[in-house]
Amino acid sequence: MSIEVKLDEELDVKGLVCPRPMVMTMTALKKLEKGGTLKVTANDSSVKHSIPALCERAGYTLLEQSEEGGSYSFIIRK
Amino acid sequence: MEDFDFGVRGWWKAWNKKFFREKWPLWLAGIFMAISGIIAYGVAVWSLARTVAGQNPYDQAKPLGTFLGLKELGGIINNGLSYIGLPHYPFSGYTWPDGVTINFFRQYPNPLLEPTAGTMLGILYGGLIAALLAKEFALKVPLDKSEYGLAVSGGIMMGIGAVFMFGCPLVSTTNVGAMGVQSLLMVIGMTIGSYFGAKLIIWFEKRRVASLACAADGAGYRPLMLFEKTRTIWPVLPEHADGGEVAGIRYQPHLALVLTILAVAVLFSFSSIGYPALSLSFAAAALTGFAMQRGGMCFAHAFREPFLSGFADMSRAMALVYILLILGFLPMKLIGSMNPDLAYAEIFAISPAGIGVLLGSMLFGIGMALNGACVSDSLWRTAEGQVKIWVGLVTLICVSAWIFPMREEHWFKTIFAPYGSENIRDVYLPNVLGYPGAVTLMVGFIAAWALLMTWFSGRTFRKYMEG
Repeated sequence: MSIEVKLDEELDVKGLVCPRPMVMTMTALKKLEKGGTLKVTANDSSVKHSIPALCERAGYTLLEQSEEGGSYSFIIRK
Repeated sequence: MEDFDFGVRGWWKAWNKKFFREKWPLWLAGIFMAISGIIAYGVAVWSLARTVAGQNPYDQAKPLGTFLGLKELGGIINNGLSYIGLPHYPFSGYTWPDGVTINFFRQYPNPLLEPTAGTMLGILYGGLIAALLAKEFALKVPLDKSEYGLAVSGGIMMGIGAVFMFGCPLVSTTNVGAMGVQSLLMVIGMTIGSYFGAKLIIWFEKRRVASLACAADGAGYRPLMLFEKTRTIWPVLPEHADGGEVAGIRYQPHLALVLTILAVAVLFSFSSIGYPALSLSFAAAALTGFAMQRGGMCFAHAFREPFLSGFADMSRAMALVYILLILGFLPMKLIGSMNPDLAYAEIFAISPAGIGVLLGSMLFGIGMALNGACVSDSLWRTAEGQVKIWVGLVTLICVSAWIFPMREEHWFKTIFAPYGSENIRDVYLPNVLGYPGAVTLMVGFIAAWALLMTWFSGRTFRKYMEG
């Protein structure tokens, strides 16, 4: 079930392969204001592990995580 | 009855989701990888015993590794290049440990009988089955040309590095388990190389993000990437999804089932015509590929991420694999040490050592950081349909196969791998330190490596959060 979230930034890294989706997500989150939201869309399976792990470690909130046809999307609040 | 059906169905659904759909914890995937590695080593010892007993000499399994099969392919590539008048590697032949020199191209009646060729196919196959069961297979073609640049440059570096380091990272797990000096140099070299690879990626991405920031603008939210980056060739998703799965996704587990039945039938047939060891070896490699895909086990990640994103969970999982293999190979090595007929089982997967191993593994480390995957990672990710990874893998295979014959040359052995080239037992640690000393050194070394990677990851992540 998807939730309504006002997005501040969107990062589409479909087509990029590990480690670049993770590096670009970290760079985008670093630039984001505290409390801001970022939507990340990727199609490299490495993000299934790495983005939730990043959120847990850095204290970001993973608001939504979904998967369809080999494509993964995440909404993260900094 | 209905309750019973519901119960069984419910149990199956839950189990199917846990085992085939969700990612496995890294420790679990690591244990499965180690088990398959130990099985492969056991099958190799068994096949040696069968050969000693006069069974099919071509049914010789080897411990898990994905690299030696390249020498057969190298023969094909160099032959092809010589026919069309392009530069090719001139070489005289391949020398078996018993001193018999044979034609490099004719080591096996068929290149696919080379044990590690079957291992490569097995990992690819296991990864494909795992990806299909999880409905994760999709042919993805990056449109971003820089991805191909990274794949080709990484592939070339890995191709050259692999020849000099006598293997790939998956071979390093077997070699660490086998307790050779070369394996220590491999781990050190790949760690140093990955450090520099990570720095290169950071430099590259900083430039890239800075150039994109100039182009990004808009109201509400800003897309940071403004160009089309990928095309999924298959399965094609409808523009307006109605909540149902397209056939290309829905039937992936069914395809996995058909492929599994086919593989079992082929392996039984192959086994019945005199190749049980190679059949079992393929099955062990398939289990490795399956576990690697399910857990997302990636050597490039394990060596690079402590310096790049500040995560060392994969490094610790790989350390678990290394240590389990050291302990798991031990009983079979002891059998080899006590039985003169099986003496070769003691020194399976031991390679010569020297400066070439260190330099080659450093180059390999940089290459795998840039490419995003090593040989075995590439195999299971190829099975997920990542076309960029195919480009890197094909580049790696062609480059290393092309120059592989140089490893048999006297000058190569003298300069780059002098230790153990004459007598491989010189670089076999139990031969130098005894078994208790060698096991203690190897386990201690891997534990220290895991701690070092954890320390580096903390340092990198702290810098990220503070920066």
